[in-house]
Parts: sequence; C-alpha cells; structure tokens
Amino acid sequence: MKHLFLLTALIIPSFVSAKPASNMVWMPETLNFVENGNVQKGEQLAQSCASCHGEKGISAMGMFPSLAGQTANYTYKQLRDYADGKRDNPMMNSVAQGLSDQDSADLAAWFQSLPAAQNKASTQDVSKAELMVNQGNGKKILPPCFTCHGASGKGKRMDTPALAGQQSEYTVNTLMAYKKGTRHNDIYSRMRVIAKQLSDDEIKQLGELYQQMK
Amino acid sequence: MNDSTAKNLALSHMWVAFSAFILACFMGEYQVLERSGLFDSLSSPSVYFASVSTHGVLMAFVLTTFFIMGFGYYTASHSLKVPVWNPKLAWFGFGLALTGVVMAAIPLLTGLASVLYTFYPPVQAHVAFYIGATLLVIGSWVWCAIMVVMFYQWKQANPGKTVPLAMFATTANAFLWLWTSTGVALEVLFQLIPWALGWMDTLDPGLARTLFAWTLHPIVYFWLIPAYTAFYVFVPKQAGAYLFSEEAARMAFIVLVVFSLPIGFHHLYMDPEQAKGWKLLHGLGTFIVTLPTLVTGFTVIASLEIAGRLRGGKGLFGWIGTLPWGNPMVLSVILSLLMLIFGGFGGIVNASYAMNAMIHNTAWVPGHFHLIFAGTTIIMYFAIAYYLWPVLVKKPLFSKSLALVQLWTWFIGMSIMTTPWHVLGLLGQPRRISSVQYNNLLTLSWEPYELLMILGGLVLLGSACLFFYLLIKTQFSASTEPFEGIVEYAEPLHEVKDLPEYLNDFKLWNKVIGVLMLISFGIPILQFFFMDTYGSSGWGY
Repeated sequence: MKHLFLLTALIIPSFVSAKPASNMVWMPETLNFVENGNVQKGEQLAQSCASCHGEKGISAMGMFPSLAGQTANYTYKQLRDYADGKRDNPMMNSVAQGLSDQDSADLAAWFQSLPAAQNKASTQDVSKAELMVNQGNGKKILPPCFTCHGASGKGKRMDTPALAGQQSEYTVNTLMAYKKGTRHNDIYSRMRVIAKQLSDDEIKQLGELYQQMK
Repeated sequence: MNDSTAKNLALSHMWVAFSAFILACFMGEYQVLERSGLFDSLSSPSVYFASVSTHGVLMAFVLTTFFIMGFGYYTASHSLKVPVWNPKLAWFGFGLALTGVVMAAIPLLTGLASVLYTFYPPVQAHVAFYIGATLLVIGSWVWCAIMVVMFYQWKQANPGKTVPLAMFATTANAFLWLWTSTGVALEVLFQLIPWALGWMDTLDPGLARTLFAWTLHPIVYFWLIPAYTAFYVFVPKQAGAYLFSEEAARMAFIVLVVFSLPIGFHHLYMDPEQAKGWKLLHGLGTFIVTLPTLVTGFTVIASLEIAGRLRGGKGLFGWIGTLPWGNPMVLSVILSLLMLIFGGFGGIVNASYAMNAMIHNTAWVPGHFHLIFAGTTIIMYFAIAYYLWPVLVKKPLFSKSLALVQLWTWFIGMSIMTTPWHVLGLLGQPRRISSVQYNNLLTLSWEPYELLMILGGLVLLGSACLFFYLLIKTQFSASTEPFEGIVEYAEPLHEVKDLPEYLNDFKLWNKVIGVLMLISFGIPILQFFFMDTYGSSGWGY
C-alpha cells in the first residue's frame, strides 16, 4: 500500500503539464521569415479581410481592430495563435487555420506597410492614461506603457503591438479581455498581470489616448 | 625650434575635448534633476537614457581621447625638442576622430543609440553610432603610431640616452591604448557593426561583454596616465623641488601598462559567461595594479615633502602648510590625491569579489567612477590646461585666483555629489535608473541624498563653466604683453645614470603583455567558439 501511494505520488506530476501561452518562439529564423513577407501577395490575400478590417486596414467598426501600421511580428503571431487555438475567436480561428505560415507573413508585411489611422484629439479627460503611458504606477509597481509600446505608440520589433490610431473600443475590449483572463496568449502573462491592476476608468482613458495618438 | 604645429594640434584637440566636456556637464546636471523625480516636467526616461549615453560617450571617449592626443603631441614635440612627425597624418587622424564623433553624436542625440557608454548588446544602437565610435578609435591609433615613431626616432638619433620621462609616459600610454582598444575594436568590427547592419542575425552578448571587459579596465589607466604624467613631471617643479625618484616613476608607468590589461574580469564578477577561476586570476591582477598607484602616491608625496621642507616647513606635517597652495598645479595634485584616497578605497571594494556582490550594479559604482575619473583624473586635466594654455596661446592665464576658485569648487562639488551617491548604493539604489517611482520607505530614504546630489551637480556645473570661461578669456582677451613662460619639467632628486634598457624601452614589456593577455583572455575568448552557445537577436530601434 505504501509503495502504491509512493508510486502514485511520483506518477501524478507527469500528468500535470502547463501549456504555453503561445507556441510562437521568436527565433532569428522566424524574425527573418516574417521580415521577408511579400507585401504584394499580402495585399491580394487581404482583400478577404477588408469587410471587417477596412480597405486600407482601417476598420470602421470598433469590435474589429485596425491593422494598418501594425508591426508585422505582432500580426504574424496573432494569426499563428488563432490558428493554434491559443487565442479564441471563432471567426478568426477558422480564418487563420486556412492560412499557411507564408500567407500569415505576407499579410503581416502588407498591414505593416499601410499608414496607421490618424484620429482627431479627444475632448475626454485622458490624464490618468497619460500618467500610465509615461510614468506607470509606482504604487502598483506597473511600468509605463511606453517602455514596451514606444513613446508614440508605434510598438517594437519584438512582439509588442503598435497601439497608436487603434480604435478606442477595440483597445478597451482587449484590455478587459486580458483583465478577465479570457485572452491569454501573452507570454509570461505580461499583459494579464498589468490589466488586472488597471481600473475600468484607466482602461477607458487608455483606449481614448491611443486612439488619438499619432 | 618652430613648434607651432604641435601647439596648433594641441589647441585643436583640447578645444574639442573641453567643448565635449562642457556640453556633457549640462547633461549631467539634467540627469541628477531628472532622476530625483522632483520635477515632473523633466521626467522622460527616453530623454534621460539618451542623455546618459551621450554624457558617458562625451566624457569617457571624446574628452579623454582628444585631450590625451593634444597633450601628447605637445609633450612629444616639446620634451624631445623635435617637430611632430608627419603633421599631415596627425591632422588626418584629428579629422577622422572628429568625423567619428559627429557621426556618433547624431544617433546619440536623436535617441537612436541609448545603449549607454558600454554599448550593452543585445540592446542595439543605430549603426552610425558604432561606425562613429570606430572612426574615433582609428583616429586615436594614428596618434599612437606617431607617438611610437617619434619615440623610436629619438632613441635612434640619441643612442644610449634616456628618453625624457614625459615622453616615456606618453609613449607608455600610446602602447597601452593600442592594447586596450583592441578588445572593443574586435567587438565593434566583428560583432556590433555586422549585427547592426543586418549581416548577422544574432550576437553572443557573453563574447561581446568579454571583449568589452578587455577594454573596460585599462581604458581607465589610459585616462589616468596624463594625470600621473603631470604628477611626476610638472608637480615637483611647480612645488619648487625635485622628483623623488625617476626610476620609481618609470617603473610605475610600466607596471600600470602591463598589469592594467589582463584584469578586466572584475567588471564581470556577477556575469555567468566566465568561470570563477578566470575571475579569481583577474581579481588577483587587479590588486597588483594598485601597486603603481601606491608607488605614485608615495613618490609624489615625497616630492611634495621635499618642496615643503625646502620652503621652510618643519615637523611631521609642517611641510604641508608651506606648500604653494596658490599654484593651480600644486593645489590640483593635493585635491586629486585626496579624491584618489577615497576613490581608491571604493575601488578595492569593487575589486573584492564578496564586497563587489554587495554594491554590484548599485549607485555606488557611478559614485566610484565619478570620484576617480571626474575627480582625481579630470582635476589634473584642468591643471594641465591652466599650465599649458598660456604657453600655447602666448598670453597669461586670465585669472589665477579664479582658477583656484574653479579647482576648489570642482573638488567641493565632486565631494558633495559622490558621497551621497556611494551611500545610495549602500542603501540599495540600482544604477541606470531614470526615476524612483516605487514609493516605499526604502525609496523615500533616498530622497535627501538625491537632493544633495543636485546641489553637488550645480556646484560642478558652475565650476565647469568657470573653467571654460577662463580658457576662452585667456585665449581671446587682448593682452598687452606676450606671455614668455615655458613648460618646465621636474629634475629628479638623484640624477639618472646607467638606466637599464627595460626602463627606457617597451619592447620587452610588449612581449610580457602579449603573454599575459594570452593567459588571461585566450581561453575565455576561445571558449565561445568551442561551446554551443545561443546568440541574441537585437533589441533596438
């Protein structure tokens, strides 16, 4: 009996395995592969994306993100995450499963080549968001948003999205999804950890601020 | 002898050096203000890190290299009593180095090279930064070549004679720089530039850090040797006496050059890419290199004591009071040695493995190198400038009393700034932070020290402006009568006779350095080619 108990104790951990947030690993080969995406092919493929994401990658509906000016690495990773089921969206899961790695890289290159949306300045108060973007929150030990997303919200090469010009509603929905944990394809839970500590008001202001950022 | 070429070269180089210096001083004050977090309008991590990177490069690469080259050209020509060899080549080197500075300045000032003074891959800067830094180094190699050629030409023309100590020290520094800069040159040429140009996908930060460590410690002695040169060749004369021992001086320069090179791993004590045995070896070497500093301290103080006693000083310490404190060179050496004592103590903490763990990557480290570099070394650069400027421009120093005020304020400002900086390190403040936002009791306890640092920085900025003002006024104000003074070198207390060749040449010492470098860096570098390591993609702009 004692041995059986010991054996069970030893075996149980082997059935417990954590799944990664994403299957994407940014090896140099992957970075080069995405960098060499074919813009022309991407443009052709993107015709079927236009109904939701807009003709030139600028969406007219808040529930769909604008993709124009998005960093290619980020778009590529999202498409692969959708395909792998690491990010949940019934429509995008089936779309992405129909795309090859090369298609994803071509689409990512095309959307990166488009100019991001230029929106007018909001009249709403965005002071809390400005503080978060530029200084973070020392009390909550939250780093400023700009450290990853860039001072003008253009994102960075390694897996951090451009946010400037993104529709407010979409940014708010995304942050809320991270906050609730329904979106979970961020490696090391980076955005989930941050979003959990943001108030709803801060999230709303961040949406407004990034929408008007150029 | 017409030495106008040497004078023009010296002035041109030194103006570049001190222009970089004054610009970097304003940046330094901005940095202490920004970091304090007291001024919201100044708060910008992007600007802060661009400023820190530019400040470091201007002070550590531009000020030093140009000053050393300018001082070297004049010293070579004046002490050997020959014109500068191949002036066209010298001007070409100057142009190359200046082009490099401008080229590196553009990405630095536009925030595209905020990789700090040590380059820190895998953070990646714009390629113009790396190419600019390379041109600066190549320009300085031209200077090294000219110094070495002049040294050996003189020896050939004067067989059996002793090379003047000032030129011996300058050539020692040229050899030191050739050896020193090879590490960073290898890193930049074979890693950083190809990587920044996209020819290589990844770079091994371990190898990059090892190569930079090759440069990182001896570069400090490259900066320090002009200060030691002034200690030995100018100070005793200015104090009114003799150099206590020229042989000791030569030996000190040789040991500095030989042992400052194979010891860079004390900068890597906490790094994983080198095994502990190599760190121990380099750590032991680090303690050997304290010896020439102790010899220098002894020799200079002995020379000063002779001067003080010749001037009537009595008793154990009575000679200190009778020293000519009103002479900028003498005042500088006293203040410099005071800062060296405290800075040297801090350096021993850094070099000791266990104590290093306590202060590693804390504010202690910039506190230490500001005290040693900006204090001990730079105050002697001021002294040399005050001494040479009247000779170079043939006009008297604009105001000796203001020069003394400037030196005192630099010392006081440096003491006010670096003492709290050390304390902040002991209180756990990390270095390389742009702000202190995590409000808790620990970070609140840092605030008074931050305030003191702002005050120290202000005093230093005022002192730097005064220095720059004095140089301008000396050179450009109308003078009724030309300055007739000349540069005078200290005579040794005992005449140098039958100097062994190893104290008058570098052939043997270059071989010794070659062997020591092979032992200290051979396997630590080669291991990266034997082991299966992973490189990193660039993180950058």
